[in-house]
Amino acid sequence: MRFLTKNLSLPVIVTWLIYVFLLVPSLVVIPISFGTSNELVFPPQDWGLDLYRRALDPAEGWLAAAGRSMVLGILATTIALLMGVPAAYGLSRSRFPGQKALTFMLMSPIFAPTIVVALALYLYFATLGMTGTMAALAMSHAVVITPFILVTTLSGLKHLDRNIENAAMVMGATRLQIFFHVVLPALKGSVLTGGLFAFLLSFDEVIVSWFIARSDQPTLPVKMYSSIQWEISPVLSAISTFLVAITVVGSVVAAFISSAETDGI
Amino acid sequence: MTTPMLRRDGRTRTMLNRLGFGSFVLPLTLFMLLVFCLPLIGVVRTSICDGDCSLVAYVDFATGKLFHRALINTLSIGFVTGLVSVICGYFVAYHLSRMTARRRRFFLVLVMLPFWTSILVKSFAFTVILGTDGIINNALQAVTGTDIVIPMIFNRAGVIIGMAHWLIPFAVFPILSSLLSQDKALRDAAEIMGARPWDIFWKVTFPLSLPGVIAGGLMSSVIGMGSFVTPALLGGRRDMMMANLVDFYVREALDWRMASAIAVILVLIALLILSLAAWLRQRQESGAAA
Amino acid sequence: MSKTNTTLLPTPSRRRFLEGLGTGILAAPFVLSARRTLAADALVLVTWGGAYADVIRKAITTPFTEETGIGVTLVSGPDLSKAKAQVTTGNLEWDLYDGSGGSMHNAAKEGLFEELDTSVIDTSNLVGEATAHAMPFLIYAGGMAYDPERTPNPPRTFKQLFDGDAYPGRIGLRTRVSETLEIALLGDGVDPKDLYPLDVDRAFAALERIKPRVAKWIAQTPQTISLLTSNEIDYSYTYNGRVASAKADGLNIEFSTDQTILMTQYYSVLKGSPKRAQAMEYISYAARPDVQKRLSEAYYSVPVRPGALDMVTPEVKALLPDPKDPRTVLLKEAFWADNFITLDRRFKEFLLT
Repeated sequence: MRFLTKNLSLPVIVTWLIYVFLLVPSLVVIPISFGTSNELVFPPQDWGLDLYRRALDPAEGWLAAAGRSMVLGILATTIALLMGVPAAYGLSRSRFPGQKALTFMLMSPIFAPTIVVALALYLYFATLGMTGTMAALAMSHAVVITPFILVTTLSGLKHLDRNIENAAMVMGATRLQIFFHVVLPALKGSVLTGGLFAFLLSFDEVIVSWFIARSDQPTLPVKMYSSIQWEISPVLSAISTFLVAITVVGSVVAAFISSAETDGI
Repeated sequence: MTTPMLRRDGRTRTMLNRLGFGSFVLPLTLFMLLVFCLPLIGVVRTSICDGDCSLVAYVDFATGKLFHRALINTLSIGFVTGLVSVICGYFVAYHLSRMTARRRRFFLVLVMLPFWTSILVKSFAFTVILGTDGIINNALQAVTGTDIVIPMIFNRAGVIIGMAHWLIPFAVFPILSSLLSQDKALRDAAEIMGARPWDIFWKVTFPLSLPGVIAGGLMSSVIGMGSFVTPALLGGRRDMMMANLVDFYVREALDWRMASAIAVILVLIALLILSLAAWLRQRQESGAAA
Repeated sequence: MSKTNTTLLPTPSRRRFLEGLGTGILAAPFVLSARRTLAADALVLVTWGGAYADVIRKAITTPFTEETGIGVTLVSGPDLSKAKAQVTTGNLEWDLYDGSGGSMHNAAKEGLFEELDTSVIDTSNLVGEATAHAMPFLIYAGGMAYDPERTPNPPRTFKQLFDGDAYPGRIGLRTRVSETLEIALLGDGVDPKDLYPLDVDRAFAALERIKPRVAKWIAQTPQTISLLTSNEIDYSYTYNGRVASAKADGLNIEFSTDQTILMTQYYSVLKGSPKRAQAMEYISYAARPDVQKRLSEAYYSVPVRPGALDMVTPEVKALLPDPKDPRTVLLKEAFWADNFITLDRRFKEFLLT
């Protein structure tokens, strides 16, 4: 920071331009969300809260879909964390033949195109008669997001001072005790960030869900796509603005409350 | 960095670890075998056997002009998107790495903010911003007093911009983690010895962050290679990718053999790129050791 | 037909393969028939969501339930690949499928649909054309839309559209080979009555000429409207009902009914549906003249029963293309059923070069 601000103004400018680039589309969506038209219009001709009213109207089904996506995101992230964090710990603290191959296998869903994963899982679950179940959906999402938990946890583990673990082991702690009492608390930051990232990927995921989800119980993105043949509903802009606002407020509050100054991602 | 530690621990510990840590990795391994590898094997099988067994789909791929074009598009769009994402991601990751953990957490939420907005509305927002009658072009015309129009959307640039917007966070993570794992003492030492910030960056910080850069670049290009919604919404006619074809053969043509074959080739390409990167890195490391 | 089905559908071998690997154990606790929790006696109709579903509900399904007592559940996201998987695995989630054109016939060839029961459904006397497996229930018109403020003198026929000297302007066309080849030939001056079978080479040559003026080949229908209103294109190939609803929302947009291509939306019954009889009854109902009148007034569709057009209110009728107008083209699905896959590939290659 000091390095950047004091001596190099160009990189600082570029960095902020990138932040602007990342945020601007979400900002453009905000005024659209206060329009009254049934079409996407920028800037809106009339202003009002109609779109928010529709987004919150139970009869339109947006709330239910959002709730479903939340539940699914939490389920999938939980599965991914429960399996991913211990696996990352195991991988980073041991050496065995074929380790690289195993790590690669566990990471591979990142590198398989989503449409391929979607097709593969669809055929698979269809054969098992499981398509449309929440279990199939949550497992499918877990497959897609677990590698990201692995990446962030592995990098967090690199920063941990291993001498503490060694000391605990010398004092007779079991591996499980070390994992729960030494490693996990120190990893909190990486696990939280990785978990949030994974949750967002699940929340945003449409292709796998399009195939696996039950057609009368769409997730939020699937519901958004289900009318693409006719419209991109401006209600989406209200939903997006709402979610962005909650996130920003939530993270500001969290930043003020949190006192932990642990390093890591 | 880890090897000296292991040596000090001795051979018995490693043996114990081998058995004990297995239980940490086992659940995920089983899960991935059952819910990822097995379905993927099913795809490989469908690409050859769908009713009857033959390699027609692969032969078709090898000889079809359409597939060659789509293949070239996929590779070049994936490469450029990965490059752009890594460059942008580096600036962001560097900025994040030089702040307190608490601030960083807040900024990371900002970086992930685009995920809350569906690509469907985002594509409209991009039209508003980048279009021929969009905010940027209108501003340019007002400032320059000309009727200059920069085509930034519904062409290759539109695809890259749209995909990079989504993929930058994927690049930020690995770069940030390798920046954070660097020993600050190294930089301080260089500074005390009178090295200029620019030199410190290029001679110390950047080389040490290369693994993160490579990981981020690979991840964002490979994910980019598999997308098809963004190219359809923001691209031009020439920007059709292999994933678009998979989608078409799965859902419209109902030719799952062809779809699976394209999918298998897409996965093979990803594998090839990854092994190439691994091989290069190994060569580089052994070269450095010698 | 049924003989070829068994060879086309790979169910038994695929199932055996997966089960052989012991996955049944993993799945056993979760195996649930997907449809168990849907309303027990209701027909399940898969259709598109949003405003379209509202129209279908209002014009067809709700009155149908009132009249017959048969419930209809609307679910979103028709997808032939899902239909194929449902039929091949025997795990049906849907009874009725709402689909369009070429790919629908392709699916029928794969054996995904029941044959229509012509003792219940009157497949004669239609504006469109029924096939053995698919019944037309909605006809919509594709044509040129424009912004009347920006473009006071728009092309009103495809021939005019292709005349770049008289009508310079940025064009939006679709990434669909069907419709687009018809547009190309009409633009090149082919008489609508001589259109089929399509002169494919001539069509591609015409498209080659117009290529530089096409600012966006549009994959998703919403962009046919949004790109016009955000001034990215001047002439947009889109659909009359879509324009009517945008116009009702206060957008500056007009649609030329002078020359249109009529496209058909079909209902089919999924193979093996336990509610086959009720599904046939529903299809028959959907094509009834009074229902078609309601649908037409809600969607600006052309009624599939010739007589029903005269029942439609004059205000709506004014916005509908006349199927008897010699300039109007009824998209010939039979042609596309045979040629869709090969021509689509050639079209994609055309786009990429």
